[in-house]
Amino acid sequence: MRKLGLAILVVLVLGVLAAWTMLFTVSEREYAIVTRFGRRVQTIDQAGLYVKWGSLCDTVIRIDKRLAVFQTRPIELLLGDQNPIILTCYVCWQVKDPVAFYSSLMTPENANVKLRDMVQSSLGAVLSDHQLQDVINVDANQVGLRRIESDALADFEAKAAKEYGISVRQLGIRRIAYPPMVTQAVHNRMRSEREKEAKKYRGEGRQLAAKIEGETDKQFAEIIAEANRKAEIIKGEGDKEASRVYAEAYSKDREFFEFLRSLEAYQEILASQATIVLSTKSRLFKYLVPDESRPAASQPGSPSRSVR
Amino acid sequence: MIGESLQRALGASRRLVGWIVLAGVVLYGLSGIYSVKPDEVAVHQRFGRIVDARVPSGIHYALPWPIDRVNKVPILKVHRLVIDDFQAGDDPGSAAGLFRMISQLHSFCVTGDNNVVNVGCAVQYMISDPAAFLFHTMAPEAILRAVACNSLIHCLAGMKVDHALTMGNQQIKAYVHSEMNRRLDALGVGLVVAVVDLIPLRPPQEVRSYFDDVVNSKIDKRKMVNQAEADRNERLSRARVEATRVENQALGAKATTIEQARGKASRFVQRLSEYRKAPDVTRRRLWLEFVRDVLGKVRRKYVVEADDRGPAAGVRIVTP
Repeated sequence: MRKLGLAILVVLVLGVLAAWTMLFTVSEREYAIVTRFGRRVQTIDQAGLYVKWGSLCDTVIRIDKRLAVFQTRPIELLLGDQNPIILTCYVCWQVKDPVAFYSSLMTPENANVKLRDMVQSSLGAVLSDHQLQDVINVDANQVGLRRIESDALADFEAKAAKEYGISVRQLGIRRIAYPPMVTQAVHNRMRSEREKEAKKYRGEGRQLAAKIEGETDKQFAEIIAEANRKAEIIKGEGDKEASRVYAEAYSKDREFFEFLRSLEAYQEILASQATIVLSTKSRLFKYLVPDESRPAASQPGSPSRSVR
Repeated sequence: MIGESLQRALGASRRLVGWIVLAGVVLYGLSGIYSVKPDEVAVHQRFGRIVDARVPSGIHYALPWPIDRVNKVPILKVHRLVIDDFQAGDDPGSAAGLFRMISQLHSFCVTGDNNVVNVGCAVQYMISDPAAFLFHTMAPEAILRAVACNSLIHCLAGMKVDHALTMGNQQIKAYVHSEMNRRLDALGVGLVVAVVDLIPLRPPQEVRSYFDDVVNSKIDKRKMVNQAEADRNERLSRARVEATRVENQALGAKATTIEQARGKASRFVQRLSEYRKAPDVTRRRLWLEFVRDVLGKVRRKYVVEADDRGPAAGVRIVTP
């Protein structure tokens, strides 16, 4: 009874020890390569529990299969039209062939360094086929960044996949910058464009204001003219009415009217400055110079005519 | 005696050990119980392999360590990442400042008409696929940042600077939002962008005053027009006042004329009725009154002796 218990204990301890050295797990985030005395015997790309020979002869190498991202350093490249441009880009990649990756690169860290150089050369090659208007364009449909990126990705992956066992999942421009000289030139151009625009708006303002002013002048004159016209019409109505009133009254005795009107007219004509020469034969002086021979029925003569 | 008591003690201790071992086994087994909070999802793995990628909230059981493993991921939590790569400034804590330190270059985004602007955004994102988030990517946030920068560059590369600075905000936001999600999906990062808040675009410091001046010039333009319109209103109202005055004056004149006419007419009628009573006498009287009035006022008067031949001897009539 006691021996049996002891035996169970020993088997249990040995079992745990064996499990400890012979079993290993592979997680979802890695590949595993099992090497025996340095020779590769197994490549595992599924997560789970695996068996190896003891720790002394088998070694498990774990290779991260997760998506990695790195960013290139800013590099100055020449576009096809000789415009210099500074670019950085990001690359998302992951290990697809752990054996190739393991035998060529070893670690993700130095992988990033090696891949970085390759991306830069790919990007440089692709960009030399493009002009600035393919990178930026006022027409969004003409922007060729997507094609530049996919071309660079294809070029890069053709080299990297074969040699390093990786798959490039995405390559994208991360930053566009200009060399200081170009930045300066762009700033200057922006300034002058804005100046032009500001001038344009102020000019338009002045023009519109002048137009309004002109219209105002015209409307002003129109209003005054219209008022004057109305005033003349009103006065005309007054004159017409006055004429009617006069005519109505005067038509009662035209002769008497003419007589009175003539007297009034003479009165105005013979102002105080006039010089009047009167004949003694004038009817006025009928009683001044008694003369029977003069015809009594002579017309009421005008007091001669005036000479200024 | 001693042996017996020893044996009893041994038996007791063996029972105790047995109880302890049993308790240990039970506790070990119970250690697999875990709870998932309402805003979380758990990923359940056995020996590294995922057996359930989406364990919902509640109480669950997994085999104890080292067999099973559970990672909990807060899927409802909204994370925020500020994209300041294209902002101005030398603060080395920001991405733009870091870039400036490394390269001595300005940070900006280039627009379609080759203007440069400072732009930034804040991306709010959530974990949409916990397993992918945990096991598929090394640096989800770095990818998110790279993708955000890329989307901004793509968007602005096809946009005029005036549009980008004024009405383009919504368009940029929408583009960045959808483009980021498209790229994140393609990569299978396990993140989803919920909201993109755009930090207002600004022209670079070096040219900002010129852009401001354009804005001012638009205000100036409006001011000039407004001033002209105010002038117009003022002048036209003055014109209307003047017009009213002229018309009223005319009305006054009309009334005066008519009243005068009526007055004269009525005077005439009165004189006429008087005249008709004795026409000759009245006529003579009126004439004499007139002569008196006229000749009384005239200063130079000459009375000449008349002969029969002419109205006045030796006097020629001169009209001016």
